[in-house]
Amino acid sequence: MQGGATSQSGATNLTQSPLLRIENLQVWLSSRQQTVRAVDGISLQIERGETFALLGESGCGKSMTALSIMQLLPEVALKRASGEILLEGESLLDLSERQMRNVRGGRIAMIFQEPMTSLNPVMTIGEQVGEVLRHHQKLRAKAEQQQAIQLLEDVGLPNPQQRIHDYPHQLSGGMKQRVMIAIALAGEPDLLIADEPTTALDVTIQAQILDLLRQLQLQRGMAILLITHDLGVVAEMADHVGVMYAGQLIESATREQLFTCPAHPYTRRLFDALPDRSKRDQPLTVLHGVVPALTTAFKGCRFESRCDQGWGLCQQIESEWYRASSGQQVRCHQLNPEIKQPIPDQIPAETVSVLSEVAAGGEELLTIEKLKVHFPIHKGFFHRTVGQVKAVDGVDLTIARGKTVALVGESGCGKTTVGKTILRLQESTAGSIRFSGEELTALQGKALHKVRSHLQMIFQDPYSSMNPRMMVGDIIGEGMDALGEITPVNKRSNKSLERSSVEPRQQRIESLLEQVGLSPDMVNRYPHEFSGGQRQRIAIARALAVNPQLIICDEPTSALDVSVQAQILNLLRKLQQQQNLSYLFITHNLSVVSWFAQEVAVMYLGKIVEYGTVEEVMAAPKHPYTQALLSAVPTVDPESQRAVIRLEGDQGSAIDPPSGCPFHPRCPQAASQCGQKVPEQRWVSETHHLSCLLVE
Amino acid sequence: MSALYALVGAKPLFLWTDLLIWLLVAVILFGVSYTRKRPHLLAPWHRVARSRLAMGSLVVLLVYVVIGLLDSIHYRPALEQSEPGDEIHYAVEARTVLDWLVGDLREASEKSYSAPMATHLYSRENVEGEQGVTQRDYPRLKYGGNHLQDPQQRSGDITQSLLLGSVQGLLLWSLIVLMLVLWLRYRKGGSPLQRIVTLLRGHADVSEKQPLPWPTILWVTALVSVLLMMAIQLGVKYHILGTDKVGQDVFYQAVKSIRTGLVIGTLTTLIMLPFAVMLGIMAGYFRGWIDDLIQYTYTTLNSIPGVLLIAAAILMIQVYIDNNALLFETTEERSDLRLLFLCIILGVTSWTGLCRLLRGETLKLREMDYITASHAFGVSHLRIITRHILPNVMHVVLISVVLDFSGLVLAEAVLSYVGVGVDPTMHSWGNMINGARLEMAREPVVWWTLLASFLFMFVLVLAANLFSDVVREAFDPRVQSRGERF
Repeated sequence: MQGGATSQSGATNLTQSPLLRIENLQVWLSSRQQTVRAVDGISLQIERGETFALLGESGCGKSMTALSIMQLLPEVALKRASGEILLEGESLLDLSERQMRNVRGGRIAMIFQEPMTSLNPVMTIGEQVGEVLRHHQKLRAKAEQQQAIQLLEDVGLPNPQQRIHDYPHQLSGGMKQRVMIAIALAGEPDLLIADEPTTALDVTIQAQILDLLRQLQLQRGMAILLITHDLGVVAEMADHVGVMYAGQLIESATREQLFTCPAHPYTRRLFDALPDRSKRDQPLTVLHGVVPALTTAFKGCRFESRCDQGWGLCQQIESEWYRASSGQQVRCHQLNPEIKQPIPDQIPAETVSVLSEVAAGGEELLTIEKLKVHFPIHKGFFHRTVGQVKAVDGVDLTIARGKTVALVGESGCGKTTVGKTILRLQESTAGSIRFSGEELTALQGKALHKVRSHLQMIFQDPYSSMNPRMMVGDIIGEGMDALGEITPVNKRSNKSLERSSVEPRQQRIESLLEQVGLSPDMVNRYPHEFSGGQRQRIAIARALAVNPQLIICDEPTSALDVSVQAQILNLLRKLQQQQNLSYLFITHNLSVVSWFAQEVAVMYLGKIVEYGTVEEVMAAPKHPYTQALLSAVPTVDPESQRAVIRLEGDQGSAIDPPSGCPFHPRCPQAASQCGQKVPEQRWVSETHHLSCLLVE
Repeated sequence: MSALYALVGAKPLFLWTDLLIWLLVAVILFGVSYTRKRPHLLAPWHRVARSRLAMGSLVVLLVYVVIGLLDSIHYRPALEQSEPGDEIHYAVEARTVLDWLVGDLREASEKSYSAPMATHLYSRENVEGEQGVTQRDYPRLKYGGNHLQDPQQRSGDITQSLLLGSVQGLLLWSLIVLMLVLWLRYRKGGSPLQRIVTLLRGHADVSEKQPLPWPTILWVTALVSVLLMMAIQLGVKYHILGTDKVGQDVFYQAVKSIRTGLVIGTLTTLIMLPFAVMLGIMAGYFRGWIDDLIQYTYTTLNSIPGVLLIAAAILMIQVYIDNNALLFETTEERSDLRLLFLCIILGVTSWTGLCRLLRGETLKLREMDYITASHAFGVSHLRIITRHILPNVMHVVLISVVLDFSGLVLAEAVLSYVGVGVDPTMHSWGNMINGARLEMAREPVVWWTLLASFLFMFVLVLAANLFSDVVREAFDPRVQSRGERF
């Protein structure tokens, strides 16, 4: 087989063989006396100049595949690496470490997810680019510097002549990722592996980076192996897509095939689980459960446990590759022409029940007026205040009972600070926050303590939001104990009997767990035994325990996979209906907003620039920033020919915000007056207002 | 009560350090039973238990600890009554259970220096010969090898004792193995043979997921028990490690020093812990002026030369002891008070490092979302500190306590050498080294005191270091997360 392959490539023209071919790659690692089958039999090929996207949820072995191409697997834990990785017919697995070093950076380069930690903080970026040039192109000092400047210019870094003397901390996240790309390009690679290159970046910056990658690919004819979990990014970038699940490829298709007609049940469910406006009136289709642990020895189909269309055969035999009607390769018994098996209903009955829209109307629950939160900057020996970080600079917001208001914006625009200030976890500098008519900013001591149970918060990171040394029951019970919501049985007094909830603590905790879809016998387990989605459910139960009326959700799903995100969003909506809860939903994910919220506030540099109902803001945005933000979101529909408004540069600094309209330095429509005059709030309809001088 | 003392013929003596040591034992036992019920606390200890290095050094440490604990039960033996019916007087010099166990070794004093395993003194003296002729020769020892008719038989006798000792040691070891087998059978079932195979070959049976490194434990135990029995065989006949200037057995001194070393190593930490933990967490949690105050305090304290502070404190307490001699019934109480104060002053000067570590760790923790969530629930500061922060910094405390131990044992040796350490009458490795200083300049060199203290200290510190290394690794959150990723 191997001999045949090499003689064939020798006979035919070399350029016709694929750039990279992976045959039945298996990477097994050992961890705690268990074998982790991180990659279990993957075959794929990447042609010159094409973009191949590996798509999958976390823990599916995508990154391990990339690391094994680079031969950067952890030596100590490596148990087995078999199969073949052929770069232009040359087997990478057979190369010595010394030879491999020339391949890395020279023929294959890699960029990583986190630009903050991928650069060396004590070297200037010029030195870091130069280092690679020196190694791979053997350039002399003078030429090396010129080449470095050229590369940095190619990746769109402004002022590269001066910037090469900068240290990484002087650059923003997007700039750092550009430098990372410049370093990767320095060796003039044939293949660029991009491991979640834009996951840590804001949408507008993501659009810039994706644009850049596409341009560079055109100029240099380089192939890209793009690893991502974001269907939108795949739709924008990929020529060919491989869907990974639990260490295996399960579908291999061109972009058109995949997005017009996904064939594998898993892929179809992934598409269904994406929230967007068209699904507003129905629950998101849920993939129940999580990706199985890679320590399991699989027998049948890996997806069988989560698949609602499987049958007996799926449990016993792993499927072969079959060709679907639209042309792609799929690993599913459904497509085996020899098996005639009635395919069960597309969507199982339990999830069909339509959630009607949340009851309209309701009195105002929370009103924020002219809220300002400034952080003083201290300097020098005597801690003199030399300036203010204007994190929140005059925000007005109203949340009605039973409604969801989404607060949208890029990182650093002050959205989380607004949330924390409402909860009085952060003191406000000026302005007022009224909750059911009661002024929150002035409350002290007992009165504040009383209000706390009405307002709760759900956090972004399910791993840091729970004390790892407390049991689930205690975590949920903490708020009840602190706020005296339910007194323990032995201490129960007459006063607590008068309250509505008199059931004993334990019973209440168990019913809360059931409410959020967990089993009540989990009370005596520790957080580390749960997956991210389950932890987020526990966090929701903890917030619910004190019977809040308003929950501030700070990016509750951004750390979760798409399928788990759908579960959590459905749960939040169900709870809203049952208990008439209000949410302040802080997020940067606009598709979640259009599915979940009734009203949207778009924030930029501490100010709300546009505010209105979802229909108004998402369908017909008026403010240039909202327009740009919406256009930058990659959509899964490759047909839609939307005009993308590219924003240049980064959000300004909150210490020294631009004069006039804070957005004007980046605004594509900015006029001369924008830099001088601060825009007033203008109402375009009864529910819709924005701050822009250009909109009449 | 006194009737009971009379019956036993001894009166217990409660020294401060004894009480604190037993308190520490109680705390540790409570900690063990508390940890056993909590899987997340137990997990890192499982990692420690699976390490061969840790278990091997633990056996050695345990031997030291057992000796130290036996030496921490003091009593005053009754003096012989001159007439029956008289009031019973108790000795001014207290003894310990260890003294009682080693028996004659304590009293077996020679005239002066003698080499290890010698039968004669190390220096010539005027000896009266058989015919009354005085000649200069090496006189026979009173105790060392006095059972031999002819000193020429010595090497044969030693070989015989060593053989006997090793046989006894192996018997003792077999006894231990037998008890282990019975215990394991009681715990886990299976045939005795199966259990022995498991023990010796380290094979885990199916039910056992994480086997203890039994072979290592058993080999070290075998070595220790053989050495122990040999020491017992030889110790009753010879001075294994020779005698010092006043003829006291050096081996006995070295063994007695174990308690001093352990007391310094553990009690100092016990004393400094409340300071370090409380102040460190407060500084990190409250920030602001509290943080400034605590930081300035430890920065200032850190800039005072530690030895100076220790010397001053020790001299003060010595003056107090000398001026109030009547307060102390026994010499042990006097030297014990000085030891206790040495621990306290060492603790006061050494809490800053841990305090700084804890401040940093708390600074990190207070930004965690679960602390924010607690604030949102209106949980009180005290409760947040005790329920959320303290349990999450305990690994830092544990690591630093274990790492500090060996440093403190060595510090005692240095301080006693300088002369500001423990009481000169107290057995300690530092005092032994101090004494050996002059002996090294002597001709011929008296090397065994130094060697003995070096050996005992070295083994203890090495075992403690190896053990603490494994503990540190097992509790290091970075190592943990690396393992849990998959």
